[in-house]
Amino acid sequence: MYNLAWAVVLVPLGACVLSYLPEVPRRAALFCIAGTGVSLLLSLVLLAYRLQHNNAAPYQSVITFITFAPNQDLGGGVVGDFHPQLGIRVDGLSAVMMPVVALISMLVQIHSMGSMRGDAGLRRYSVLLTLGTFAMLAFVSSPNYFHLYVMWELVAVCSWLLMGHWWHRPESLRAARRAFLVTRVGDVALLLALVLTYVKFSANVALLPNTPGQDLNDPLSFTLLGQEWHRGHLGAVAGVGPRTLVVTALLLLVAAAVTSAQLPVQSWLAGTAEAPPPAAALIQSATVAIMGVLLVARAYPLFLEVPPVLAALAVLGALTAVAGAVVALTHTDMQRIIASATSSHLGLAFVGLGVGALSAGVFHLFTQAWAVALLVLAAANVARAYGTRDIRQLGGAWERMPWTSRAMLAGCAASAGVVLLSGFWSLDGVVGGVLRNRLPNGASAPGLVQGLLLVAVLAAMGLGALALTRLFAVAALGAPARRRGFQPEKVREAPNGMRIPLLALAGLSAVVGFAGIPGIRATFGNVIFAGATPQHEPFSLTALLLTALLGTGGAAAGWLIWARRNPAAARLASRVAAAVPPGAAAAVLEPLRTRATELLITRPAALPTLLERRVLDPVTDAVADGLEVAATGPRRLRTGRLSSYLLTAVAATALLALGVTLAATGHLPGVGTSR
Amino acid sequence: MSALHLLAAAGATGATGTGTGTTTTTAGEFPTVLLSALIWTTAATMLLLLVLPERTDEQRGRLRLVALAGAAIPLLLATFGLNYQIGQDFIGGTTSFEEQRPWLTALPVQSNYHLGVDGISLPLLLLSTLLFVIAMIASWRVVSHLRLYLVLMLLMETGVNGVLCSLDYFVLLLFWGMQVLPAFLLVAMGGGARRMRAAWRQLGFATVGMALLAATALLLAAKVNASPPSFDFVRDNTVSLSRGIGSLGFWLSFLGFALTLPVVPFHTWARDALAEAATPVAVLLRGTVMTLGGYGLMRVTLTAFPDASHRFGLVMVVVAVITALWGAVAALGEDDLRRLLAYGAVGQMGMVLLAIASASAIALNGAVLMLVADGLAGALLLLLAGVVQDRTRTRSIARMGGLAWQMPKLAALWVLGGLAVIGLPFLACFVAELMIFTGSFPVHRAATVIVMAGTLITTGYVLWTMQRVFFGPSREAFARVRDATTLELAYLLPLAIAVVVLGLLPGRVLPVINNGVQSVVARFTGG
Repeated sequence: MYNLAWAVVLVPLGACVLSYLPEVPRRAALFCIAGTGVSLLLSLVLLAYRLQHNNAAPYQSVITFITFAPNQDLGGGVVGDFHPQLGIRVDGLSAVMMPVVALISMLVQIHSMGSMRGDAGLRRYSVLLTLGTFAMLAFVSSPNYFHLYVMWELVAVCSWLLMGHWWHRPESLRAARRAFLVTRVGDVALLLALVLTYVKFSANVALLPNTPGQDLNDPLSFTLLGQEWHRGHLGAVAGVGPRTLVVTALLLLVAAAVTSAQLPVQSWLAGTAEAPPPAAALIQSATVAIMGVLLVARAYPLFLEVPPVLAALAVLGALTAVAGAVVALTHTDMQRIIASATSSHLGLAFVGLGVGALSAGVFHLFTQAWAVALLVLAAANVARAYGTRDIRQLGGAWERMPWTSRAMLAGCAASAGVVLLSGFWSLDGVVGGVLRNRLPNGASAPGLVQGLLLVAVLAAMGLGALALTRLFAVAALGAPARRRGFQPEKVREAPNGMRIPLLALAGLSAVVGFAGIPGIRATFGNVIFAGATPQHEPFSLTALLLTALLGTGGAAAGWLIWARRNPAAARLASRVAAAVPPGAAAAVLEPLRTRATELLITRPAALPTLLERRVLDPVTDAVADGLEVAATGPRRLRTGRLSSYLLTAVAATALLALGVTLAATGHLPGVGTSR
Repeated sequence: MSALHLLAAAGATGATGTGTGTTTTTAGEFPTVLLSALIWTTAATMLLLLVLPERTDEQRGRLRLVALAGAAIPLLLATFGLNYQIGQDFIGGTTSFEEQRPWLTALPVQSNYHLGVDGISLPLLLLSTLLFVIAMIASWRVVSHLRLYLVLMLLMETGVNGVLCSLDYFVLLLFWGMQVLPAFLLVAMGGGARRMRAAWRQLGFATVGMALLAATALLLAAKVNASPPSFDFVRDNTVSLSRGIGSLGFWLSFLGFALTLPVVPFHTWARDALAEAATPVAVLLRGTVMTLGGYGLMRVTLTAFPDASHRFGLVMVVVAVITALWGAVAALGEDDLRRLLAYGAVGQMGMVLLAIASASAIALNGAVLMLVADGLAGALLLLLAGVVQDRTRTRSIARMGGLAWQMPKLAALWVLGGLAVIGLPFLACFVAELMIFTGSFPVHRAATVIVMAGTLITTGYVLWTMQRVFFGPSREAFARVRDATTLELAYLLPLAIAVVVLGLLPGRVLPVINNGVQSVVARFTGG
């Protein structure tokens, strides 16, 4: 039954290949949707089955990619075989995430049928979306770090190609390049962690008895490493000390933080604004951006052994959450507002993971995925109808685009954490986790850190709710600004294909929260948990009240300011806004960035060529000239005629041949024959 | 095909008799001639070309076909040889298709015509023969001095293949010399405006390298206490030398091969030659001549002077790090598309040198795989650059842009090649990089981390170049340029396919490579 996961992963890949068969690009896109749909159905079956056998050990099935078996001890410390494996793993995390990825991807592709209609590269675009889905499905169901790394890279490349889909637009190219380079930093950190893990653990793992279900012990397998990390922590693995664990965890932290758009590189996510909007929705909600959180969830046994790193992760997440919410408040570009809010929510998910509430952190990721996808797609519909993404020029969508704007409202409310909607429950879990501050193995963060986290999380919630309300109120209510050539009365609701995915996502983002109400058994925490048995999060009234107060309160305040245009509130808001002039950040940052580029990239890049021109080439030439003069006298040899070179060559060869012959026959003076 | 079967039988006998490398084909058995055939076919074709006329177009067409056939036979034989080894279940360090005939017995130091291939040389042999065929096809439009051009190319192929097959220092030197002059003349014959300067520089470095190698061979012959003294690899490479002699030999051979690899600061010949030579010639320099440097470091420097290599490992590592960073950083700042690729090639070779310096089995496997993978991906990019240069009439990246409008196929191939170079999974270089890093990390930690960080710079220049050349708004100046022609696809597609296949199935050749690497590693562990 579990081998169904192979089909879940591979069907989209097959669809990619098949979609090159039909002549018409739209039909190719349909092939891709069908493939993703099949994958979705299978993954739902798999999820249902897994939920019934919740306490069973994770299932995995692997094939060996390459086998490298040195039959000798290789000096330098590495013993053991190298046999990276590809495969599938079905456990709570992968069973839950696979349908999420498949469903969001399918809805995004359906939306693309409308929003990308007539695009010249429709086939390439559909194939890339589906290929990214394949890679992401394989990523969430990865059984070991090698597979995880491979798929991580593939997802990153697909998203780079998608972001650069409109390759004739310089701003798309710039955003795509930046995103890829930034995530590439994460790749290198992850690769280094992988190499380090292999080097440290392979010798020991080779000595272990074989794991059931595997013909050889893979030193990179999650199952084995889960035990090995613990044994390493206890000092039972030769050559592995606390330092190894801390370094590995830090490398994974870097990879996760960079990919999930945390400080200080959070702004790459905003670049998705330049991508085709459906692709941006996929990148933000179901592929690249969530990979970092999932990586930490996967490596949770390691992080539990090094609580300080986990605390650092929580602090980083909290800072990003606040920063993201503040930035979301200042942007005027719809997609950038949403991207900043996403990065803020990813930060909150990291806070959940960082304080030991694994299921709460992943649950927050889960609830936000729907809302984020919904917001990006809804914003795309609005932007398409109005011809701009600038919220200051928008307005009136509430009457003119009723479906889209109501879906957008649902998304904003769900994401902001309005009472009873999905974001509320997951935010409640995160706040509860911070209040509890207790890792499954009993460790806890210092009180100061806990206090900081609590303040930051609450602030991020309030500010985030404010920002999302502002987005909705300014963009969808009121009246549009007057522009040349823009006729507000021509704004129409988006066609069916672009509306239905929104409605589906709106419904989902309203209700998925009930899957994880804290304090109730048989919910999310029962499926995704750290350690051997589920840890049931106790119900916390304080957390519930705080979440309700900040989330709903923030939204209500935003409503007063931007929707009702309450004079007092508006005055207060404008006074705060006046304190931070909108262009201030850019005015400071832009010259800094130029200067940094100059110092870090442009100048060093010119250095080697400069050295070559000033030092290496003159020296080489001097030596060559010296040799030439010494060998031939001051005669000009470089006649520039090919025949003379040829003549020289022939003469040299003849001389060599003559010498060899003479030597061989014993005629060369001073060289005697040996026999 | 029957000839192949005959060779197969002969190969089997040759392999079984040479487990330790000290015996050759025993009397009474049919001697294997696969390697001789592989090496000398091209020389024979060359001689044939010399008597064919080249006055009319028809005659030129015949010349091309004959030359292509002459280059295709070695490719066939090399494929067969590798396939044969894949089918075998060898234990470490077996040489196959060994041939040994007494040759210059009158010399004070004996030299035998001793050929043989193992897991290190076979993949490289396949790469070299493939690239020569590709280069022949890519030179299809050459008209002036056609016969000379083809003759030189075939002569160069004989030399390169001969070096890869030699098991005797004297034979190796002869073959090495055989590729130096053709390479020089080929660079001089066609290409950029400053090609003469590049050709002379290349010849200068090659001559110095050759002299260093000759000195290495003489040193080994003089200092290895064998009676009678000989140039044979098998004997010379299994004897331990005194500390001083070992160090001297290491430096001579390391410098000789490092000049060819090339490493910073001796890379200027490659920078100029790859930029100025005609595209097919640049492909050959990158894919075969530079590969010989890596091959020699493994086959000679590591194997003959293991103690000294261990002692001076740090030197190699420092050079490797500098080379890797220098190449990548210089590529980032370069505007000339061809020179940019040359710098990139140098940077990749830094990675190979890192693996060689660590001398662990995994890393050396990765190094061989890297030479092949990077040879393929680099050749693809160089050929594409040649096509782009041909269309746009410029090598300056700043003057290109938006070419994907007119040449979507070329752009797609370039993206593939670029992704292969930066090590995307399931493309050629990925497994090689992974193995190099895994193998060298325990030995040289800091260096490995620096080189890994350097791959970020590689990503940077690859992406940036791709975008500046192919993407962006359409340009009026290029409104009428054409996409890839059938001829261009005929030499680009096989390389692209090879890049993908090697990326998907590196596991097929790894046992063979490992089998060869074992003979190197055994020297380090005192085997």
